[in-house]
Amino acid sequence: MVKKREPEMTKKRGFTLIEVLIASLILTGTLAATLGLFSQSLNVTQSAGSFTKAVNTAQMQLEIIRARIDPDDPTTTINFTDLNQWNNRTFQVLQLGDNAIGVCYVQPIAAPLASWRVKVVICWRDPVGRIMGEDNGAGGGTALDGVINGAEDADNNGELDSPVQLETVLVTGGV
Amino acid sequence: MGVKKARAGFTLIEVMMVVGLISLVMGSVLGIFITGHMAWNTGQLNSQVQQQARHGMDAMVRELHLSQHNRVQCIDANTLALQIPLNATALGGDGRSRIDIEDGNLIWGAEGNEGYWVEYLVESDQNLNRNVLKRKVLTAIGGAEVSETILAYYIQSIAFTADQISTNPNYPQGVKLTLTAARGASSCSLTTMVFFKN
Repeated sequence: MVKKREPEMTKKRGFTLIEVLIASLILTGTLAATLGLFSQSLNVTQSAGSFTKAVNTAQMQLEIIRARIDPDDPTTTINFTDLNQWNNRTFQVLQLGDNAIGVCYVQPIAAPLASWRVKVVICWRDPVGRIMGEDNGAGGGTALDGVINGAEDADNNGELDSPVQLETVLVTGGV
Repeated sequence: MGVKKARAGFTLIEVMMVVGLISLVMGSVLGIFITGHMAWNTGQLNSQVQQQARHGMDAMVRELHLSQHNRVQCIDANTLALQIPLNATALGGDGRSRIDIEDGNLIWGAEGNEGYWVEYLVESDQNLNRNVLKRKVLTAIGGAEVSETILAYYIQSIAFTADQISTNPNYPQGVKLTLTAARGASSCSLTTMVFFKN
């Protein structure tokens, strides 16, 4: 009787230990992969924070230029006609420290009214290490130095560009 | 006897192995779940804190622009008092301000209540059990409270300095404003400069 049952038993046997182990390994692997999504979303919120700080600083810089503060001495002002002193000036992004640089571009507009086109650009290295903006050291350039070098000016407009850049026009007499 | 033996269920060893394996698998699943939950919480905290910092900053900057250099006082490092032209209906409670012009002149404070001041300060809210950035309308500096609005939550500190700005009234006047929002391990600090436009 025992002999008769034995083959049946072997047939009906469930999973082997190896099978179960492999299955649990696959399960764990799959779940661990979804963890990657969480860490990715964390990185995204962190880079959103950098965006907020960069935009905030760009606004501040625009205010400073608009108030005609002297780039060499913040306690005095310059004339409206001398605003181009701000052209190509770099500034620090307080909240992002060494991982960011800001550049100002001030270009004259002749018509229809004598005015300045002011552009404030901020390039920064986000927590993942990727550099946002054109000052990224492409083509052997120096990253985050506020100057176009190497192949950094990808769109060849003679200015650094970035996802965070504010542009406005200042007209005579406006403070 | 033979039949009984064949029908015997699991041995203790087998059951223990199964329990061990299940707890192993469930343990790792739980670990992943907990890590995921923590990551989710941190992400949510980060975006909340950033949002509140942005919101508080925006609200203050918008009103500060309407003020004047001799109408802003840093009461202490965390309290800023300023005078702006208030909309009379704002005193009823909607808290919004706008420029009110009569005879081409700005009316500082509110019409008929020219001594009114607006104050920004960080307070710990007992009911909400968190720090909030408040905007108060007062009849005078240190005077009675007319209305109170919460501008943003989770604001840890606000600081105002006027040290970078010239004391010469002919130069543009402004304040440097730093705001830090924090909750748990997340924090977001913003700094800006405001130059008065009135």
